[in-house]
Amino acid sequence: MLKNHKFIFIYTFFGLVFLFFCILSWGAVKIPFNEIFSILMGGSENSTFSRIIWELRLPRAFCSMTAGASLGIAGLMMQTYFQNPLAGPFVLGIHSGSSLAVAFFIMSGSLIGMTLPQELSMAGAAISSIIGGAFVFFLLILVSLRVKGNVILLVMGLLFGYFASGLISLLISVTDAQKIKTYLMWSLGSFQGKSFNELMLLSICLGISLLWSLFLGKRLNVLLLGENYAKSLGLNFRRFKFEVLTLTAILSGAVTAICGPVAFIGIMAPHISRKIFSSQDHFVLIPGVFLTGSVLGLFAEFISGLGITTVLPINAILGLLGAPFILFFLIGNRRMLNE
Amino acid sequence: MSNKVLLSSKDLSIGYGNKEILKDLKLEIKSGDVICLMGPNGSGKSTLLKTFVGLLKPLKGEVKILGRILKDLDHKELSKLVSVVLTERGNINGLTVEDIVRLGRFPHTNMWGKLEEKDRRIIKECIELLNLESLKSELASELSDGQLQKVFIARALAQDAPLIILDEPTTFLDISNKMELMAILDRISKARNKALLFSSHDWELALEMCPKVWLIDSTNSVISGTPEEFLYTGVIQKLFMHERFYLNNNNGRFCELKERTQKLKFKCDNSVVTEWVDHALSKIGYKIESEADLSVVFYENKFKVEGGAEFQSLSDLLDYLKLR
Repeated sequence: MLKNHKFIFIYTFFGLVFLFFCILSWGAVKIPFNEIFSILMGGSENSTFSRIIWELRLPRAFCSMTAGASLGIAGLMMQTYFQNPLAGPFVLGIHSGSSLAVAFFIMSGSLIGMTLPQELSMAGAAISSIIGGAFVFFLLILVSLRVKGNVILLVMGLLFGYFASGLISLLISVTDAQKIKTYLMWSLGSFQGKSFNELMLLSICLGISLLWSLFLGKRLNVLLLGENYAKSLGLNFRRFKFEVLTLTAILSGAVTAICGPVAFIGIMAPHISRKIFSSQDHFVLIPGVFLTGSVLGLFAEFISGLGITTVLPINAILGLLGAPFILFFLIGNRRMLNE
Repeated sequence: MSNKVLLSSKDLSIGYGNKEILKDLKLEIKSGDVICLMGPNGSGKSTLLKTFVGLLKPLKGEVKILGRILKDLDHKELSKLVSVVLTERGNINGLTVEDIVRLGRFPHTNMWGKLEEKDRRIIKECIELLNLESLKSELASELSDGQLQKVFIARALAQDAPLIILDEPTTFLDISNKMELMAILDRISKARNKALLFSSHDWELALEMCPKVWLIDSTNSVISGTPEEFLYTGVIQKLFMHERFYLNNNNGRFCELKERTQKLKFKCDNSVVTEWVDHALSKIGYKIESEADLSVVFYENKFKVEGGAEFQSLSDLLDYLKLR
C-alpha cells in the first residue's frame, strides 16, 4: 500500500468518526459532544441522554454504517465481476429479487393462515432475502454469458424490478392488512429501530464477507484484464463465480432483509473509492469501500434525520444523491454506452 | 540451448460445439521456436490458439504440453506452462503499465498477491526487455496500440511460461511497429529460450520475417514448413486462389490481375523510375511497350507527352491518360 493511501484512509476514517458523532448528537433532542463522550465512557449522570444514545442513536449509527459498508463491498464485487461500472445490487435488481422473496415470506403466512414468532420470522426474512438476491444474480450471470454489453444488464435489472413489483402487487391483493403494512414499512427502507439481534446478524454477515472478500482480492485484481486472461493466468473461474455470487447475495441479502431495499450506495461507494484512492487494486479498494460505504450510509442517515419534526425516508435521500451521480457518470463516460 | 518438445498434438480436431473447424492436426513446438500460424480470416487461427491455451476443449484427439495431456492439467498448472497475448484488452482504465505486467505474476504469488524479490526482478527484466522503462508509471489507457501490445507481451513474459501464444499481435500496428514487434519476439525467444506461436493473416510479413510457418490449408488442416517452400510447391497459390489475383514469383507477393490493353512507350534513363511508372500505369490498364502510338519522355522530374502536353507529376499524367 502506498504512503498516500494511508493518509486518505486516515482522512476518510476521521470523516467517518465525525459523521458518527454528528448522528449521535443531532435529532429532536440535541446532545452535546462532551456529553456523548461521557455517556460512551459510562460516566454520565443524565439518564435520558444515556437512553437516547444507547437505545436509539447508537444502533441507528451502527446500522447505517454496516449497511453502507456491506452494500459498497457487494457493489464493488459486482462491478469487477461483470466488468461493468454500472453494476450494483440495487440497479441490477438484486434488491428486487430480495424484495420479492421477502414479500413471499411475510405474506405467505396469511395464505396458509399461520404466524411465526418474531425471532424466527427475522431469520426467515433474512434467508429469503439472500436466496432471492442470489437467484437474480444467477439470472444476471446467465444473461451476461449470452449477451455482452454494459447497458443490457441494467435493462435486465429494470425489467426484473417491474416483474417483481407486479408479483408483489398480486400478493398484496390476497394478503391481510397487518402483513401488508409490515411489508410496506419494510420496503421503504430504514436504518432505524433495529434490534440488537438484527444488528448482530448484519455485522456477522459483514464481518465474514469482508474477510472472504479480501481472500478474493487477488482474483478480483486479475479479472480486470478480462475473463480469458484471468483464466489463462490460472484463475478457477467456476469456483470464483460461485464465491462472488454467494458473497454478494449474503451482503446484499442481509442488508435488504433488515433495512429494506436501500438504493444506490452499492454503485456509488466503489466509484468514490476508486477516485479518492486512485487505485484499481482490490486490496486497497475493499477496505476503501468499507470506509466510503460506511460514510455514505451515515451521511444519508444524517441528512434524513435533519428534518426537525419528521424523519425523511432513507431512499428519498439516496435517490436524490444516486440518480444524478449515475447520470453524471454516464455523461462523463459516453463511450462506454456504445461498447 | 536444448530443443525439447514443448507442445505436441495428435489427431487433434478443434471447433465449437458440433462445428469442426480444423482437423487431423499433428503439430509440434520445440523450445526456441518462433512459429507463425498463417491462414485467411475466419480459417480457425484463434480457435487453435484458444485450444492450446485451454480456453476451448479439443473436439477429438489430444494436446500434450511437456509430455502431459492438456485436459488433465488444472488452471494453475497450465498457467505456468503457457501464457497468452489476446486481442482483447479487458478493463485497463486506471491501471499503469507496471500494474499490468505485475498481474503476469499471478500464478506465482501467494494468496495476497505479494511480490517477492524474485517476482520483482522478473517484472523489471520483462519491462526492460520490451523497452518500457520510460512508460512504467504511465496509464495503460493512454498508450498507443503498439505500446499497449508491448505491455501485454511483457505481461505474458512475466508469467514465465516456456510457451507464449499471441493472437494476431501485429494486426493493428503500422509497418515500423510490426517490424519492431517481430524483432522483439525474436529477441524473447533467444534471450529467454521461450517458444512463441503467433497468428497472422499477413502473408507478406510471414514471408519476410518468419522461418517457420504453420499454414492452414484448403483441406482444413495445418501444414508446417517455411513460407518459401509453400511458394515453390504451389500450396499458397492454391490457398489464396482468387480470380482477381496472381502470385508474383519474383517477390512472393499477391498482385491484382490487371487487364493492360493500352500501350505506351516510355523513355527514361532511370530503370527504377521506369519500373514504378509501369506499376502505376498498370492500375489504369496501360502497359509500357517498346513500340506504341503514344510516347512519353521523362526528364527533370517531368513527364512530356510527345507532341502534346507536359505534366509535373505522375498523378497528373495518369489523369490525362485516363481521360484519353
